[in-house]
Amino acid sequence: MSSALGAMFRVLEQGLVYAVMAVGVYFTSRVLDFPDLTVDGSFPMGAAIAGRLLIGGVNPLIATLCAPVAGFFAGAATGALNTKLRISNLLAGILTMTALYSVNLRIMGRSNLPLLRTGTVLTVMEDMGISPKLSAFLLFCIVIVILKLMVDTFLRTEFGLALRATGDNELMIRSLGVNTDSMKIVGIGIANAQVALSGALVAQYQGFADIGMGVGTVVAGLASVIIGEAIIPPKSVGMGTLGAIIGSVAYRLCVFLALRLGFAPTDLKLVTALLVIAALSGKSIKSGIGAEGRKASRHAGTEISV
Amino acid sequence: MLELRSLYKKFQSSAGNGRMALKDVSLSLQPNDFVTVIGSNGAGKSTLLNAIAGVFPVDSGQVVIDGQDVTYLPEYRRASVIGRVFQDPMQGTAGSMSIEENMAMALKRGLRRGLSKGVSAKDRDYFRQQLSSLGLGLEDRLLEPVKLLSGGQRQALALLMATLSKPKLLLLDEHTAALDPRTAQEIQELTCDIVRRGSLSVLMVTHNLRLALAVGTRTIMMHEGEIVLDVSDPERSEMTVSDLLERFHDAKGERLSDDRILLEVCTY
Ligand SMILES: Nc1ncnc2c1ncn2[C@@H]1O[C@H](COP(=O)(O)OP(=O)(O)OP(=O)(O)O)[C@@H](O)[C@H]1O
Ligand SMILES: [Mg+2]
Repeated sequence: MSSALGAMFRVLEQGLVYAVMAVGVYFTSRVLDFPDLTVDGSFPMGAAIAGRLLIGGVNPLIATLCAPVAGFFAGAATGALNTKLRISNLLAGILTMTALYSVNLRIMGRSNLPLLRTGTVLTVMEDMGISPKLSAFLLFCIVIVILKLMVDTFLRTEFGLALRATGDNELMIRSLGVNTDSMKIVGIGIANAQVALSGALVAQYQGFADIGMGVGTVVAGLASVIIGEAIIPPKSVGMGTLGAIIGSVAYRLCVFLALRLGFAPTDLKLVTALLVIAALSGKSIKSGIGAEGRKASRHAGTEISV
Repeated sequence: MLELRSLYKKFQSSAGNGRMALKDVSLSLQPNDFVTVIGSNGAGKSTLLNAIAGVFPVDSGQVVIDGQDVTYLPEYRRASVIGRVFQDPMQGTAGSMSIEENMAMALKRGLRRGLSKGVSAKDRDYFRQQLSSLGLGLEDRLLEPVKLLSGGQRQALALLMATLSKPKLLLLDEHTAALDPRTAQEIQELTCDIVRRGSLSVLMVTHNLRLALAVGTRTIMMHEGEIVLDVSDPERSEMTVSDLLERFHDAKGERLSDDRILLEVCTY
């Protein structure tokens, strides 16, 4: 019984730490309407940077906070490729992601960095007298609450409104004097800052950074966002970010159950992909019945292409 | 106010042979000029408005607004002085955002957008007051997403947003064409109201020749990328739709039995 409870607690911890990434994916896919594949590279980049700095003896808090800074530039690079060089959104993300693979290897120096003997943000919590059993849960709760409040507040500022309008109606917000290219560059940067932060935390939580840990991040993030939307209809910005967080926990629960059902851990990417396909096809069938409008079909199209 | 000097714009078609959408277009607008723009499909009316707004660069010529040469400025840098309403009511507003958020964005037209609150309490009062002037009851629905509004309500909001921050120039491209006749008329009346209240120059594209003569102070007709007719009040106030067609044919030196403009008159 207590082992089952312990397992659920682990699921919750995972859900929260990956929720930081899911909110980032929500930011690009829903707020900016940009299918961003940079994420598969910026997530391990966050892990690589934090890992390398921790091994170098840098203060864990500073090491962790360096990750989002680098993530911002990775996302901004994708935005610049798309807006300045007119490379399609998907390809721009793939290019950055591919380039980041080499960058991440350079940062780490090898393909795997064990972090079990270095100090981490979690050992810092424990040094403050917090029980090791609770430290990860508490830390991730604090991080996700702060992040959610920051994102919600940001999206209601003047700048945030322009950013949302860029995802909703580019033509209109440009006619109101907004440089939509800059908006996309900054927006995708912010999203990847969150993703890299998540990667840095995950590395410290699991005790290593690995070059392959980014594979499937986008799809997992999307699965979280979609599951979240099914649980909480995203009527407002606050509901949207809350949905991504809850969706992330629900997604990790699905993964946990799939493992319990006897799927091998190596099958999980397939399970996740099928989950997303099922959710998307359900949606496109629904919107196909209800709407013949241009807007509706355009949306169904982008959702599937994501 | 607005000065267009010999604008040329050619669109490259996929077949290779380009298409002249603007040919030596010169136009000078005074403050408070309300110009209606007519012409058959493909005459270059939308292209003219897009060239003024800076949606694409022109091939040659100059666009001067209020003494400033904006020919090489991108669209977003001209926006502080230009308000636009598009034909499609979906295009003028952000559907997933609330009425007040849409208006707040319009209020910041052309200004720096920082990290202060997007909609302040003071803004809200102002928006409510502005919306009540529409008489559509939108002042009580500030927090509703715009996608819940009808096409006419959305267009009314777009019109209000286009003029909220007092632009110098208002560009209307068939902004009532997608609406049912009654709503179209209401939006048209609203347009005249708003224009009367603020001092600004207006370019309004319409296919309705009667309307083109009935509103505004001046009418220009385009044909194959050129301005072929330009009449102002008081001469214009005497004109009828058939005079307009007569003048069009004189200007072009041709008389087509199945003229497209003629057909369009009949549908109104
Ligand atoms: N982006 C574009 N690319 C290529 N050709 C274009 C483009 N925009 C307009 N054209 C062409 O330029 C010409 C003028 O088009 P424009 O849209 O200005 O006509 P219009 O007078 O607004 O017609 P309508 O009354 O149908 O709206 C047309 O031949 C059109 O095909
Ligand atoms: Mg047109």
